[in-house]
Amino acid sequence: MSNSIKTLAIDGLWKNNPAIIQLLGLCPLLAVSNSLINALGLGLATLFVLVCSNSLIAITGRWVPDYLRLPIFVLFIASLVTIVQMLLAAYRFNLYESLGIFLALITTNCVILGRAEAYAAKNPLRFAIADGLLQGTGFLLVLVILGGLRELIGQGSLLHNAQDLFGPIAHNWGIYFNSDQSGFLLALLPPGAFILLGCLIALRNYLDLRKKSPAQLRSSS
Amino acid sequence: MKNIMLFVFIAIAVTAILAAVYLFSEPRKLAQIESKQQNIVQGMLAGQDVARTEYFELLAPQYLHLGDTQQAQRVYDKHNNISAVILTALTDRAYAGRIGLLVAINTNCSIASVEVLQSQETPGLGDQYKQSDGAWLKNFSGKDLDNSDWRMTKQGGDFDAWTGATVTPKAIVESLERVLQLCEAHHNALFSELEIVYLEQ
Repeated sequence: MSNSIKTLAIDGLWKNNPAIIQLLGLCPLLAVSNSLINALGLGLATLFVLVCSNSLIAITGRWVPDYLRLPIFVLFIASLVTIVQMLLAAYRFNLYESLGIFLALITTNCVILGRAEAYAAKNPLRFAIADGLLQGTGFLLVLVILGGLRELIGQGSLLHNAQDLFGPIAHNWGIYFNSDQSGFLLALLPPGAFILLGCLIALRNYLDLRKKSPAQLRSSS
Repeated sequence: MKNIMLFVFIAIAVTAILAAVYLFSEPRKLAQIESKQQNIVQGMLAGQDVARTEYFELLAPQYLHLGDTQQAQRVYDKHNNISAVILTALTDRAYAGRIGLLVAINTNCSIASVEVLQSQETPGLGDQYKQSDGAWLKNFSGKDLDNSDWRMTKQGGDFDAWTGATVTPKAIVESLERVLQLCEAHHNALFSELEIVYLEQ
């Protein structure tokens, strides 16, 4: 069992990372990663929905006839997203506003339906939860790295507006590297998101290649 | 048949849960919106003599760009006179999407203060009104149709555009000018005790 959880962890975080290997859910990933706090907020929301939907689907999966599978899964996912959206609007209104439509679009994030179909429906509850947690964390990590890089390059700060996510105690968590919050604007704009994500994917592939021995490389090419 | 019943049952159960969460969270959400608006309004009226504010309903045809219907506010001073009216103006002539402005106007139809409520302008270019603590927006205070030329400096007017963005400031200036024109045309209704004000040409 520990072996299986370990496989899930390697898969979710590195080998089969939803964001930089499967390239799923790129629309929110690119749109909302313009600051560390936005990225963290959306990442946590996605992680929560993924864990809940994976567990719901692992519990109900065996009663659901095959041809009703998709509508029921989508119904679960959409409801979970709606709940997250309503709760965020009630407790973290500023974050809810800056995430905007991309919060509702978690419903259509292929990572979630993908994990439901490919894993949760066929596996026992505890593995489904672990899978949701680890895939969600993999997605969250990429989102946070991208958001942090874009905020740092684009406006020379980190954790700006941290109170939107962490509440009033976080009012002075922001770290500012220049006084007027200006930087290399391109990083904040959509093209910057594509370029930086491209760099992350390249970096990951490079690290992966370096681990393989020359013999393995030859046989795989 | 049995499967359809299963689907319907799940749908009803899920809807019930959603309804419960909605009933629980909606009042809090509305309170958050309200307090956010109030914070902005308080910031706008800082330093003025404000005893209370009162909502009234403002109805306007679409071409006036005030939204169909909105909750505007009247500001009363401690002698119970109306000292300002706060309303929302919308403009679709900006660079990206709609800009919503919260505008406070004085009884003599000059701008008291302006805040941007919503905007999707390009960060760093179209949102330069945020720079130096909103200095560009503060510049409008006290301006009215008589004492200012409501065109951009380039056209010989009194208002500066920003480096790299000319469409956005122009849209804001136009929108404010329109609000002032409406104020002059409907001064009596706006600064009255009417609970519903309907603006017509």
